[in-house]
Amino acid sequence: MKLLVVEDETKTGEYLRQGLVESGFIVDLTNNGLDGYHRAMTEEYDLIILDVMLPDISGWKIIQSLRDAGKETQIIFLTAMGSVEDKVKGLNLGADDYLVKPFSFAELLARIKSLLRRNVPQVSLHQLTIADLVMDLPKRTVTRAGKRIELTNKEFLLLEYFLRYQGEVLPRSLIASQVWDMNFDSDTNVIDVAVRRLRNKIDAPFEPKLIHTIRGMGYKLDVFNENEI
Amino acid sequence: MFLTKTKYKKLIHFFTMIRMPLIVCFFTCILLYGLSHFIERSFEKYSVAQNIAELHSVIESIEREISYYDPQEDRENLIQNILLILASHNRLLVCIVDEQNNILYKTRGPNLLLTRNKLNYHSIISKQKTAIWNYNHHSYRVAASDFLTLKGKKYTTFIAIERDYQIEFINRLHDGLILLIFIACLLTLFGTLLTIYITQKPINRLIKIIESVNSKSLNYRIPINTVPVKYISLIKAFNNMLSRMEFVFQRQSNFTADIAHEMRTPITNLTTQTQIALNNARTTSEYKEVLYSHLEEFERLSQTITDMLFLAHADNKLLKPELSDIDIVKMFTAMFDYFEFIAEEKNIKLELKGHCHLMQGDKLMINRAIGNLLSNAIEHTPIDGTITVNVNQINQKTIKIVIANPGKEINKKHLPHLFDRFYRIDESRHRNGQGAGIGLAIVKSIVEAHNGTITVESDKASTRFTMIFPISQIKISKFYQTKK
Repeated sequence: MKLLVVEDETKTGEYLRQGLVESGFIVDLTNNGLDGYHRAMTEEYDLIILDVMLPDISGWKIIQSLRDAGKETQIIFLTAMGSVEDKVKGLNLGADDYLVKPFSFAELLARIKSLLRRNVPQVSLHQLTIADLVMDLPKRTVTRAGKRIELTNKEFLLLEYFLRYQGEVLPRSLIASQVWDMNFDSDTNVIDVAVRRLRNKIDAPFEPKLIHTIRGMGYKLDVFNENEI
Repeated sequence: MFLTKTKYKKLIHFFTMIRMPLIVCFFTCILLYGLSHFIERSFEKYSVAQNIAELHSVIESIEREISYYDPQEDRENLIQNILLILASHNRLLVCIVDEQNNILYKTRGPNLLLTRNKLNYHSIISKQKTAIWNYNHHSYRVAASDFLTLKGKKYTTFIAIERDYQIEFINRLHDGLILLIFIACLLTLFGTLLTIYITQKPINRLIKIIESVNSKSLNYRIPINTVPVKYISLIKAFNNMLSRMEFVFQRQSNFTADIAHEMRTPITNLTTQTQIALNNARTTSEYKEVLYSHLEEFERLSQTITDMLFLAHADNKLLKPELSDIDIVKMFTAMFDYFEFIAEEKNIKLELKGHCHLMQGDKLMINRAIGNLLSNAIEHTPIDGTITVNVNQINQKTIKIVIANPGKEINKKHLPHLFDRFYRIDESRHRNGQGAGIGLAIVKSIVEAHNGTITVESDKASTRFTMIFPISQIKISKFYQTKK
């Protein structure tokens, strides 16, 4: 997967590149809008991360020109503490998603992956599995090591979300937004409580542990224990 | 350029200062002029009337004399009597002629017969009128009359009275009045200027006092007993304004101090932690632990900054709700769903009562406000408590949402400050999690951005937050569109 990062802040750009490369992407970084536009027009990218506050030409202009030229590359734009108008404007111009600075890298990564997955045709799965845990979607049942686990509706949805994105770090805000449709930053620990309850049911009596806490970032459903300290 | 500009300004200032006296002066002038005109005309009318009466009475006396006159016998006698009549009148000219223009009697001086060519006698005689005759630098009022004697002889009497004295008097009167008007105007002008100066003086003093008030002396209040009585209400209003400004200023500077504190604490933690970590060689996992701990601290900082910016936006009236129709009941249901797990941990029940129409608002913002209030309510509800949300349609245009939770009664003195940033009921309470003490401030700014109000009451039974929203935000959306 090849990404283009257009970001004039050198440090931010470098960190973005390093993070994305380490997450397995091929990354081109440019620190000015014209170069970014040129590359986006001439090379094939899977996704563009675009800062809209650029010194030479505005990010809006780039989005518009790319769309006018028929380029359908997915775009995530980055905006400073956004007014609603900015977000609406960006999405209207044809961007696919946005993030408000300061954002967390985990969040950006999750959104990139979610957007890239959109391109892959969704196979309607009947079963989601990890290790010895099996979720049967039509029957709405969960078993682990052959034992039936009773989950409430919300717990089921949360586990389903974890299963669909297994191996990825899921920030709390993203979980709140995807599972509960709550798109505000709250200072509550709702997600922590929910995950704790889910853990008690699917992890406590079993080995290996599946849900891992990634400190400062979020949660991850994975078979391996490597990220846990 | 600069000089001419200041000169111009000075000129403008001068004119604004003198404008009022000039207006007063102008009206005084008009009034006095009108009055003097009236006086002159009255005098003139009066003297003319007197002249006419004199002329006619003389004519009457003379004619009575002539009616007994026999030309053959007593001309001497007649003239004697006429002289007697004329003796009691000054400056009279008389001329009596018969049908053949033979002069029967004539006083010395200008010949009245000369007027015949100039004046229309028939109209004077028939209508008992008088006319003005100017002759030889003198002006006269002339009257005439035809008369038949008992013997059937016809005589014509011409009579004139000199007007020079009268004209001169009126002219002098006119000059005197004009002079009087001029003096009166000057007096008015100076009088008004003086009055303005005197009334302006305490104002100038006030201006000086007010000018000396700056951000450091906002606690200054102008003493009321030093100003004239009529300015007391003005000074009171000004002092009140100072109080309000002082309050806002105080809050703002508290806010700044709080921000600094809120930032400094985590940054101190970070610095200390980093220094300690670097002091000795650590294992990779220990370094990792430090980085994770930093990450959490940074997340909190970033959240605090974002919240702060949100409030700054709200303060500068930059919060523009993106309007859509919101089903409040549905929103609460979803929100209960979200908080279900936390509530269950403390065995808290969430209850929703009532219903209302759809309301216009920004979904994200309203969601955030409600979320903050509910999480606040859950935090302060004791185990096994019940949080009640009451949604009510007060009238066609407004809805009321009351969120009530049982718990410790909040002291009355804290209630008005509950929505202040970083306000803490318990001074020693340390911060818990992100954006400490800022959640309710955000709720308030969101509610206000939707033209709503939020209040809080507390008693032994429960603490209640009441929000009142207008259903429609048409005014706002119009403003929003025109701005776009």
